[in-house]
Amino acid sequence: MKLCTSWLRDWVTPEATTEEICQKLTNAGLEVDSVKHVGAPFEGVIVVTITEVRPHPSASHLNVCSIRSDRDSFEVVCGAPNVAVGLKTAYAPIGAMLPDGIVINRKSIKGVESNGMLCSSKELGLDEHGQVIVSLDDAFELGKPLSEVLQMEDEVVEFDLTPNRGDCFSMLGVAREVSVLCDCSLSTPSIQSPRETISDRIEIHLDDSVGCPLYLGRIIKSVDVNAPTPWQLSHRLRCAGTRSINVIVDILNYVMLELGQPMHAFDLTYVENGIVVRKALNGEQLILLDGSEAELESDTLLIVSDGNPVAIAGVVGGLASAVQPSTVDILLEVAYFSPANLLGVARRYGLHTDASTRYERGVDPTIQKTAMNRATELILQYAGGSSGPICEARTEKYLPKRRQIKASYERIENLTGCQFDATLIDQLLTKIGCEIETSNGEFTVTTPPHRFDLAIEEDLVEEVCRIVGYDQIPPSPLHGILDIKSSPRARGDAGDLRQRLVHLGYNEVVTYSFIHHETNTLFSDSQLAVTVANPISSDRDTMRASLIPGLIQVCTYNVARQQNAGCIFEYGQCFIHKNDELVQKNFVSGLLWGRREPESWVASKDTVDIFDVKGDIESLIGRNCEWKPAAINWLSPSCSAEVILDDVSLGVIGKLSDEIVQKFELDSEVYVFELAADVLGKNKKLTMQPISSYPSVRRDLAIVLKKQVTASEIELLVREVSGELLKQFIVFDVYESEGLGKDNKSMGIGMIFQHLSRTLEDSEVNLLLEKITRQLGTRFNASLR
Amino acid sequence: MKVSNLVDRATADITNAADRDSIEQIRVKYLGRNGEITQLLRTLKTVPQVERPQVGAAIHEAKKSIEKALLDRLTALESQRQQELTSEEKIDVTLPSRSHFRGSLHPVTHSLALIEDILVRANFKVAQGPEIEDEYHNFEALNIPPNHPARAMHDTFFLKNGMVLRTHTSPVQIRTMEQEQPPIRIICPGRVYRRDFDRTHTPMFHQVEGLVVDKGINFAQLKATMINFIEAFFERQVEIRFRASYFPFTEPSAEVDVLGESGWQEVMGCGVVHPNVLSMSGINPKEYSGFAFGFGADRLAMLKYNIPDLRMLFDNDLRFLRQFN
Repeated sequence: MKLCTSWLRDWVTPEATTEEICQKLTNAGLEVDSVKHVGAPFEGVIVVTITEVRPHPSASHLNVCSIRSDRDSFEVVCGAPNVAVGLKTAYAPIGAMLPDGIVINRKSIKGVESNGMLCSSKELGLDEHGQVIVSLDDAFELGKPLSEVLQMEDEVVEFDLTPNRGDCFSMLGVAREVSVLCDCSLSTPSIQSPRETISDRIEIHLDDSVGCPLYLGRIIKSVDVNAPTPWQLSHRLRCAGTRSINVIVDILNYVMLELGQPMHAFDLTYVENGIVVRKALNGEQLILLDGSEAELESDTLLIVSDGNPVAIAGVVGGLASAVQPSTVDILLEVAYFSPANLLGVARRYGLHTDASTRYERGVDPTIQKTAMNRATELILQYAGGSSGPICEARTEKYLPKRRQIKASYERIENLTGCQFDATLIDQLLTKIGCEIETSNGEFTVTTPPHRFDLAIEEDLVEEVCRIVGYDQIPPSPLHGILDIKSSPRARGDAGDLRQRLVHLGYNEVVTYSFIHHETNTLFSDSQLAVTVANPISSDRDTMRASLIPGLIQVCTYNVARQQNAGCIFEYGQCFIHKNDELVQKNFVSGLLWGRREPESWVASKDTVDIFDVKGDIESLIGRNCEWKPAAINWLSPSCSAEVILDDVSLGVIGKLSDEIVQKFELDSEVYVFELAADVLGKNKKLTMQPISSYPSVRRDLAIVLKKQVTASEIELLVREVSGELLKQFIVFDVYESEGLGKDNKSMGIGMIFQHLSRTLEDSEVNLLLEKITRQLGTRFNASLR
Repeated sequence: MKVSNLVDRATADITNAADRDSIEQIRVKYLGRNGEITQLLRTLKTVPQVERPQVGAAIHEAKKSIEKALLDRLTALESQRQQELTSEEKIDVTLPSRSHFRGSLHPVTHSLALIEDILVRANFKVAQGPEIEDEYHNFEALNIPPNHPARAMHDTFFLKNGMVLRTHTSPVQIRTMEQEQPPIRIICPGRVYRRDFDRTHTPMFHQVEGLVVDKGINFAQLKATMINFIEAFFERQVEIRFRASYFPFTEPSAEVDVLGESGWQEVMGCGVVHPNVLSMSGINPKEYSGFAFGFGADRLAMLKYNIPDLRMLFDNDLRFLRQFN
């Protein structure tokens, strides 16, 4: 909400500067977003009087006017019908600037030179009246800048109000706060009941008196909708960011800004048979002010006349019944709609209006009549017409009552940790409009009608604190029991996993948890996808089932920035729907591309391969795990593996499949891993194993075997045969050659044997080796080379 | 024979000596068993008694000076040899190393780790929870009923099954209170989601929320805790301001700003836990009170590491990431 300070200072006159006032308001919970200087929307325009009017020699609708400022005279061509000798008006001389940056030049209009122009209020950006040039007050001095005589130099304060402070959505509310915070008096404009000169009444029926317990209507006849809006009013509306429409709508908007009470005016022709406030019926429609058509939902509260909806209560009016240039008689509406009934309605129709913002947060249920009189008074003054009496429909029991809150000075002290003087508390609460009855350290507060946010004792605690100032409450240290319990480590093992990967040279990345559904489908069954109903953009509509797509995106981003090598990882949650159950699990995944080592005179030029990934994972796990070929459709079938730890599948590693590489236009080989972090992160119990003090024996074998036999099969066999004596199994060489036969390969294996409590005999090692060789032969048809 | 001549000759020989062996030969020549000095000493007894002490002293002087010259020359030759040796084998240690790619933690992880370290020192425990939440834990249990205007403060992502992406980590506080009775002292770090995207907002960011529930917890303690925390995080004295604000789950509520180069910067929200929140989670608000606080780890990282644009955190440019190792 925006308000100008010249207006504020009509109501409160603290000695503080605008900056100081804003500081106080911000600290007390009315956050000031910005303070901006506003000038007139034009520059260089001055006050002149017309001294002579002659018809244009060659254009019948134009006149040539002589004008005079305080010392100079000019001649201008003007097409406005209201030019007249003696009229004081606004003159934009050569070089003056009008709204939208239009600079006035000397120009010839149908053969007569015009030295600038006389301006309509539309041309000055003040309102929408473009037919006539402005007529200025006689008191304005000739030659003075128009912006100065109209007092258009001002400051606009923009507030970011919290939802609880609906009472501050008006000048009245803000001025009330300023008067409390700056300790100065508040002078509100005196509002009289206007003279009622006609007796026309409107029939009002409250069908839903819970949603609308109070509705005031008043008929005003023969108004001049086309009368100009007074300058001051339009200036204040402009500062508030409200567009000028016509004098009636402008006045209603002005009163809403002034008192916080939304109002509406109908063209009487469309509502003269009475007003009914009821819920919408199925299938009802309404064409709204902006021309759009709303399909009304059955719980929406409507203003209805003659069976036709004319407005969505408290949100927006209908187009047909709106006040238009042709309107002569009007019906003013001022109502109290209950916030509970309006919550979410505006949002559902996508209509956030000034009225709905206020009604949703709640308006003062006692201010309707004042607002009605204020608006009537201004309409009669500026648009003329004759006013009828106020017609009222009211259901008292559904109107909010002033609340009574029981509180104690002790509780205030306990919750704030600060001792306040009881009389100070009484004073502060009285200042914001509460009535207080004290007895024995306890007191009962009756809240003011506009502060519907005050409901419980804690609300009063906040009032006291914020008016005194949070900065006035001295901090005091937190006490507590220091209980040492065996509990999960602070950051858990996620911290450890991350740290280990960093030491292995990985850079941690953080990517968005939502990705495109098509991308997600490449890595997970589309049946399992978790979809976002209202995504931030259509390419982020699905919760990721894997971290790999995000890592690929980071890879392509960096490759596009000439980063031709990298290893990255992410730790985070992934999401799937499995058997109607939402599964949210943590994964840690990595991706490598390009050179294995940074380029240097000693570094190898090799690029990464699957054994880099495998080595990293082994370092990460820190103990023996099992590997077997994997079948994952986004990994290359010839270069991928599943990691198994303690019989539980931990995840997969491998080269991205050709399909994925093409899809994401990756131009190098890319290796990845994806592991279940919760399994991986389980605390490893550290227990010492005995170390043998007897010498170990190493034996090497070179064997020839079929290509499809895996190294782990060989290792498994050797371990099985050797039992605990085998301390280490080494593959020191693998090669293939024509000499071995096309289906064969050679593998050099080293075995280190050691006994825990004695020196191994040569003969027993030989026996073991013979057994291993024999088994290799029978099981894998492997022979010694 | 003049002793001084002898010394001059020996000195000249020594200066010309090019190696250890020559030095040894010279030593033998002058000081050896049949060396010239030794022979001179032998002739001493032929010198008249009165001159003998003088001549003897002169010979000893000469012997000493030759010995010293020999030693000096030997040392010089040795150091010369050493120099020659090292310059032959010398390695240019300024050549680039056999280096590794240097890993790094994401700046947000750095920031989260620091936050946790600080608060764990004050006996806070770390609690975690799901990122997809039900509306009850994300809103209702936090005193934000359906259609409450405060829901507009959280631009929420909805999923098709009626769940939401949590808009804050406060649901973890609720889940903790549902299971534990006071004293409670926890922090809940994690990813949260709001539909917002500009220089200072990303649709996903990281939050840390803290909760203390015990007997006699008050606003003054909240202030002290926040001030201590902020100064520990930024590792310096910071000017801090508390101003009134509104959150449905705390009353009184406050925003905390720190004074930066470009004026006051909002860093966190906090307040005394609303009694409705306590009682909804099964804690008696008459007996216990609490305070809660929450802030963006990303925002704190930006301030601490001088990062101008929040979106840089999620671009994951390696040239950016590698600075945080």
